[in-house]
Amino acid sequence: MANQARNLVPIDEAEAEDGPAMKALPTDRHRLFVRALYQVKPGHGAQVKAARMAGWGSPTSTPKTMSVIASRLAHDPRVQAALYEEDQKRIRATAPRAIKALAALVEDPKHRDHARGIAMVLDRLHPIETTHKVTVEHEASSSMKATAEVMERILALAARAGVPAMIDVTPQKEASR
Amino acid sequence: MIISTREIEEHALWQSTWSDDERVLAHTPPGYWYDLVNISMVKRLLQARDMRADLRLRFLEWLNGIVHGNLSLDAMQTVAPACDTAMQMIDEMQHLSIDDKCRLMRKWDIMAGFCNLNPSLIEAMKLFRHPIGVAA
Repeated sequence: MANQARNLVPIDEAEAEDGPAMKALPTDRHRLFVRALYQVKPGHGAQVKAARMAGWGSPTSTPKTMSVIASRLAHDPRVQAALYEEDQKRIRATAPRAIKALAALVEDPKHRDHARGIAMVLDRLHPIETTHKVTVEHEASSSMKATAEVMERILALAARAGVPAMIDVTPQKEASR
Repeated sequence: MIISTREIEEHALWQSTWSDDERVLAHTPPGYWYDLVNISMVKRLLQARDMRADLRLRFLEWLNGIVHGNLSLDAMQTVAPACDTAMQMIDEMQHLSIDDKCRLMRKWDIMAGFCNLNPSLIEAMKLFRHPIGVAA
């Protein structure tokens, strides 16, 4: 089993430049593991297979050992960041093909999803108008409330004591008139 | 202490020479004298325009709280801010202990000095809740 795993086809080096997360991985074997995950068939044992493809383990490593290695790799935050980065790149790279397929769908009236394809395109070209009622509640901060309360109290006490409040509470616009 | 009849007569004679204002001052409990002087001082301090709002509020709260007993709201409102000379006199007292300050402020001639500088102190005494000793 182990010997068979070592004879896997080597992973192609990515032609595109690696992103920051991929570059941040500690070794080339980590980067190879990330790339291998996109090449192996998804499902049970995919991570172990990807780890073997990337050169992890030894010819004598047991399946259990390889499982532990693959699990640790897959749960490494650095590897997960690199996977997220690769996901974004590959989704973007797939977009032209998706658009081409959608165009073919729209052009083919006999296709069973023809109407759905047209709706998808129209939704993106002329989105259904929706009205959002947004209620904005402004709550004065505690300091603002305190300031207003202090000013109010000063004015009340100054009036009670028969002394001028000595605080200009006239709004700026009013004062400039 | 035995007070002779002669001394009583002399005291009565001296009292008969009092003016109305002197009588009001003499019959106002001395504890209120210091309060009135302090009111005039605080009102003078409140004339500062650059005073922080929190400090101004503290002074105003003090003024509000000083209304008690015979010292009516009208009396507090009647007190005018202290003049420069009165403020200098108050400043001179600042280094004294609170006991010495109170002892000093109970002296007749000291309070008379403040009243001469700020006649509103006497007017305020006349507005006490239970006016005492005002000549008929």
